Amino acid sequence: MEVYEVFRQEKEGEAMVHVGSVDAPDAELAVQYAREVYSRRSEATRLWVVPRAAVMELDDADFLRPPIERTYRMGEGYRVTIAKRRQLQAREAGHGA
Amino acid sequence: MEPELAAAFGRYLLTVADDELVLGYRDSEWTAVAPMVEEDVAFSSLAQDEIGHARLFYMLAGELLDADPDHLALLRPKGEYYHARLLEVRATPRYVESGEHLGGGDWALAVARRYLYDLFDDLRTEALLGSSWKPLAGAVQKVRREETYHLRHGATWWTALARGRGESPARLAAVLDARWPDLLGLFEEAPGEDALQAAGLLGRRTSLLRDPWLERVAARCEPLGLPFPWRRVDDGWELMVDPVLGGRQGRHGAGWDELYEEMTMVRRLEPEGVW
Amino acid sequence: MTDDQRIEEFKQRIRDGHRVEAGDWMPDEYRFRVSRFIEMHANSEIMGALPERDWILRAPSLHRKLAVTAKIQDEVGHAQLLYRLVEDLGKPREQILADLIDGKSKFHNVFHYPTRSWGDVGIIAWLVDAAAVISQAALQRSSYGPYARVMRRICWEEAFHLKHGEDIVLTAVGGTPRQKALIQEALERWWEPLMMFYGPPTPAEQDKDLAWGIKSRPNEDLRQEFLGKYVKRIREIGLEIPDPALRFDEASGRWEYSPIDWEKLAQIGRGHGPASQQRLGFRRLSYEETGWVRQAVAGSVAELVA
Repeated sequence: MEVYEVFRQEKEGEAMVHVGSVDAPDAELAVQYAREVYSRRSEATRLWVVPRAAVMELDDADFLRPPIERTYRMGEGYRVTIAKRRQLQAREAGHGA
Repeated sequence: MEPELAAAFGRYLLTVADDELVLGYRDSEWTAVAPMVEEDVAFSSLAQDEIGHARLFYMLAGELLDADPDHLALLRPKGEYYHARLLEVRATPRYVESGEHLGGGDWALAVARRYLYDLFDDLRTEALLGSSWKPLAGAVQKVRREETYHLRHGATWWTALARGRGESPARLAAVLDARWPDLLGLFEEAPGEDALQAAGLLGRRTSLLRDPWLERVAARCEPLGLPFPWRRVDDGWELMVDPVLGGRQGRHGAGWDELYEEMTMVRRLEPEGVW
Repeated sequence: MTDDQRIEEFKQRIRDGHRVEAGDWMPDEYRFRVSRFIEMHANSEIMGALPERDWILRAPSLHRKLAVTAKIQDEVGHAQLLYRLVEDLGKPREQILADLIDGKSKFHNVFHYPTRSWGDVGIIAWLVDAAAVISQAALQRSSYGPYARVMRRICWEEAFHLKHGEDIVLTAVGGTPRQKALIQEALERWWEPLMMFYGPPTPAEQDKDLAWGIKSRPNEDLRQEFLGKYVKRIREIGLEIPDPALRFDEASGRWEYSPIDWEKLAQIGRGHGPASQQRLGFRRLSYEETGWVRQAVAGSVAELVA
C-alpha cells in the first residue's frame, strides 16, 4: 500500500489544488479511490493523482524567504516613484506659470 | 406500442431492474465493512449506481405497466421479483442485536459476482441500445457510460485476487467453482422475449447473450489459470454444469426470504404513505 | 534553545494563530493529543456507520435508499480522510484499527446506542449531525493545519446530511400518526445521548485540548448553541422533548436542563454502552473475515501482474 496525493481542478481554467491523499495498493486503484474520495459530488473537472514519493517538499525559511532585502522585485520598492512624479509635475507647472 | 407487447416488455424490464436492485442491495451491505476504507467508499458508489440504474428501469417499466416505481421496487409480492438467484446471496457478515453476529463475509464472492454480472450486463445493455422504444435507448446510453468504470474496477480486483498473495487465488477459484451454475442462471429469459426481439424492442434475447459471455469469461480465466466448466466444440460451447433457473420466473432461495423481509419492513408500515 | 523554551515558543505560535503542519517539529504532548483527538474522531465516523447501515437495506423508497447510502458513505469517507491524518502523524492503519477493535481507543458516545426504527434514521441524520456540525465548525480553527482543512470538507458534507435528516423527519411527522410516532419515540431515546454529546462542562482552564488549540470552544458553549438552535425547531413541528426541566432562563441567558449523569457517559466511553460490545464485535468479525484480502494486495498489484 502506498500513499498518493490528490490535486483537483474544480472549474475549467482554475489551478490544480491539493485536496488530500489516499492509501492504495497500486496506481489504478489510487485513481479510482481519488475520484471517490475527492469528487463524489462531481466537484472536479480534472484530477492529478501522484505518488507521495514523487512529491518534493520544501519549507526551509531561508530558502523560501531569504533574509537580504529584495525590494527591487516588489511593488513596495517603488513607492518613491509617486514622490518623483509629483516633483516633476510641480516643476513643469512652475515653468508654465 | 400494442398492449400485449407493452405488458411483456414491462415484465422484461422488471428483470433488468430487479437484477440491479438486488445486486445493489447486496453490494451496499459492504458499506462500513469493506476490506479497506478507501475501497469501502468506492464500492458504496458502485452499489448506489446500481440502485440508481434500477430506479431508471423501474421508471421505464412503470410507464409501460402504469405503476409507480417505488411500488414496483418495494411493494410487489415476494414471488413476483424476477432477478437472477445469483444476486440475492448475502456476501457480507450480518449484524445481530444480541451480538451473535452471522459470519460469511466473502470478498471473493462480492468481486467475482459483480464483475461477471457486469460482463453480462454490458452485453444486455448493448442489446438494448438500438431498442425501437426511444426512452429506453436514451437511459441505456447513460447507464453504459457509468458502467465503463464498474468494469474497470471489477477487472482490477479480478486480477488482484487471481494473482494475490496468500489464500486469494484459491478463494477466488473456490467461489467460482461453487457459483458457476448460479452465474449461468443470468441467461434465463423472461416470458415473451422472442416477440420482443421480433418487434425490435430487444436487440438480442437474453439466452443469446450466453455464448458471447462464455467467450469473454474464458478469456479472463485462462490467462490467470482459473478453471471454468465449459469448452469449445465445433459450433459453440459445451457446458459441463447446469444453470440454476427459476429466478426470472419469481422462484428464489433462502437469501431472498431474508432480503425481501428486510427490504420491505419499513415500507409495509405505511405502504401508501409518503416517506 | 532548551526543550522547555522550544515548547513555550510553540505554544506562543499557537496562541498567535499559527498552524502546525505534519512535518513540523511539535512537542510530544501536542503530537500525542492531536493524534488521539483525530483518531477518536475517525473511529467515531467508522463506528457511527454501523448503526445506520442496517437502514440502507430497510429504506422505504428508492430515493431514501440512495440518500442513506450516500450519507453513510460520506461518514466512511470522513473516516478515511481522518485516518490518513493519523497515519501521517506516525501511526499505521492496522494499529489504529487493532486499537479500536481491542477497545484501546475510544469512539463517540452516541454510537454506543442501538437503532430501533426508521425514526432513528431521521433523528440521527438531523439532530446528531446537527450537534456534530456545531463542534466541527469550531474545529475548522484547529491549530493543526491538516485537521482544520479536513474539517472544512467534513462540514460541507455534513450540511447535506442535516437537510436529508430533516427531510426524513418532516416527511414522517407530516405523514400518518404511525409515521409521526416513529419519530417521537426515536427522539425520546436519543435525547439523553444528544445532551451528553459535547461531554461534561469542563472549565476552559482545565481543558488541555483547548489549551493546545486542537479544539477552539469549551463543551458547554457548544451545548448551549445546540439548544439555542434546535429546541425551537423540534418543538415547532409538534415533537415533544422528554426533559420537563428544559427551559431558557432569560436572566442568565442560558438553557437549563435536568442534571446529566456524567459518570454514565464515562462508562459508555469505556465500552459499556448498550450496544458497544456488539458493535465492536461486528467490526472485529468483518475485519478478521477480510484479512486475506489485505494480505493479497499487500505488495503492489502492478508487481503481481508483471
